[in-house]
Amino acid sequence: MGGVPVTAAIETRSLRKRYRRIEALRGVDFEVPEGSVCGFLGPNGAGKSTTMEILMGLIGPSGGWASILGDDLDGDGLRSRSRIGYLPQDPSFFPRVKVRGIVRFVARRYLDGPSAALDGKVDETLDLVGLTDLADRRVKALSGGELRRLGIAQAIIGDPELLILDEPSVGLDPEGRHQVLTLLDRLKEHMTIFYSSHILDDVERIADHIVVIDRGEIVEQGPMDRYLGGRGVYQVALAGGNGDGVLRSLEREPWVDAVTPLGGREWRIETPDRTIAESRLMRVLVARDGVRVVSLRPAYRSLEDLYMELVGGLDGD
Amino acid sequence: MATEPGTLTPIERIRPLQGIGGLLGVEFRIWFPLRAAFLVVAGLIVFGVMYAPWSAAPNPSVDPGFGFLFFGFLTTWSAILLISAASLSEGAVLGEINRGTAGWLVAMPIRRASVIVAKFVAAAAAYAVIIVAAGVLPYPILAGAVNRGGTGFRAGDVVEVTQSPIGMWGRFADLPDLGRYLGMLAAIWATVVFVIAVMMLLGTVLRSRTAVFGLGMVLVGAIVVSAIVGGTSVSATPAGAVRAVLQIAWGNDVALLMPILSSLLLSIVVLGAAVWFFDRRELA
Repeated sequence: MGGVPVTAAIETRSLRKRYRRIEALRGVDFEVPEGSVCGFLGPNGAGKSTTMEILMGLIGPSGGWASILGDDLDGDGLRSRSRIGYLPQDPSFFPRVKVRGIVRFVARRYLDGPSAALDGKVDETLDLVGLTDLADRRVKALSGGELRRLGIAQAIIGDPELLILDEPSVGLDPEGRHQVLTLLDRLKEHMTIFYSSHILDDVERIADHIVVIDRGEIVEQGPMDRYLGGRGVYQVALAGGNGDGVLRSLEREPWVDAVTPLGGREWRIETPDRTIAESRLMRVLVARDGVRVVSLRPAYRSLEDLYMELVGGLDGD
Repeated sequence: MATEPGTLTPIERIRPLQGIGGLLGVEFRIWFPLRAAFLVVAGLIVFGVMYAPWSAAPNPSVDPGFGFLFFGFLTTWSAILLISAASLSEGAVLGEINRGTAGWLVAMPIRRASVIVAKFVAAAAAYAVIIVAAGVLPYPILAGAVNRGGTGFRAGDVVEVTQSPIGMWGRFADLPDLGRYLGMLAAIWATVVFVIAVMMLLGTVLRSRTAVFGLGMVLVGAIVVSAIVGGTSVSATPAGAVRAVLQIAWGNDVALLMPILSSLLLSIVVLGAAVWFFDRRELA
């Protein structure tokens, strides 16, 4: 950032929420930097949805403080809400209204301008989430996955500065999930994205920042690189030719830190820079005649490893 | 900064009832045309089948032997309107909260007050249309019947003149002039509006739709009973508005303005309370 202070799109301090005897949030402190894609992780019941609902003004905190796009939650939050798109965990819309009608209704709450331009924007957004063919279908006739796509469409139609998505991929088939990830990848150039997910691969793919919550407390937060780093560790199995020769030449490469034999014809290769390693490693391995690469797989710490360390396991869904 | 024609710009002005325009559109679509038409037709059927001159049988023991059930029509129809207002408003707020649509709405730049006010205004406007549409048509029919039949009754004449299809003798007083008749319809509307406001309040306070419906029915019952037995002590209440309508239909001359205004004022107070509670209600 070149010394420019990073402002927070979302900031909470000692945020608490109590439901009678259950303490859902126990003093939550975290920041989501402006312009980041922040994955909000945690097991079921950890407090992810509660935090998001407080941020959206749907429920009130029992204590603490939060600010969203510079607006304190103490106020009515209308000014900040006009700059936020939100997808709740279980989106619900007027059941008898058509898909196009819902998106148009939401668009009118955020955007001012001629009807033709608004209709164009609605069509463009429906196309973006793959709902063009269902534009004239009533909401009550949509499947769970289609409802979620509609939820995403209505969340992004107002060109928000901040997108808050509670489990955007739940209920989607693999193709739908891929489309959502591609969409978020495209949107991250234009807005801050704060989203919760159980699908750690998805978070690892597009998030550059994570916040991990467990039992109502933040257990970790920060840039993804801090935890997963750029360091690459790979395990390789070779067959045929002079495998030892290949590995010796690999040791001489400046982007390789260490090559450790694991027994048989398998080795562990450590590099300080994953990006360089992934562009050059295979080339070096197959450079010698007769050597075949039987397997090459990353052995570095994944987000799932980190999550398991922090939270102690997935909660089953 | 000038905006290019045809381009969309973010809405930046925040108004006291931000978002009410769109919400009114949605609420009006709930009431019109089907729901409103159903209630208009129901009112006309009640009149046509039970109380119109062609349905009501003359009482052979009473001369001139022609009449109609003006009083009966207004009591039955008022009861139908009050019960329908309570039934149809029962889920207006709590239904939206339970379905999650209320949370969806207020997560947008829409003031919470707008949600309640839009529901109230749309329902109140719908009942104004329903009451005028179904209430005004019987008037010329009844007036025509009076002229044709030449009963010669004056205000205050109360005679058992007709028998309804359900076998009850009705009481008849001369039809008031059109202005007074419209005033009676306004009094019925003011009472309905009060019931709607109370249903909104119950929806923001309670968590069970059954409880909201049950209390709504208790309210309607209390209004009707108070109108019948409450005497002048209830005149500045919604029950007083119903009482005034029944008294005029009975042939007595009572004031309409006070019960109408007090009912509307009470409705506004109750609606304010509903907005206050909804502002604090958790919507997740």
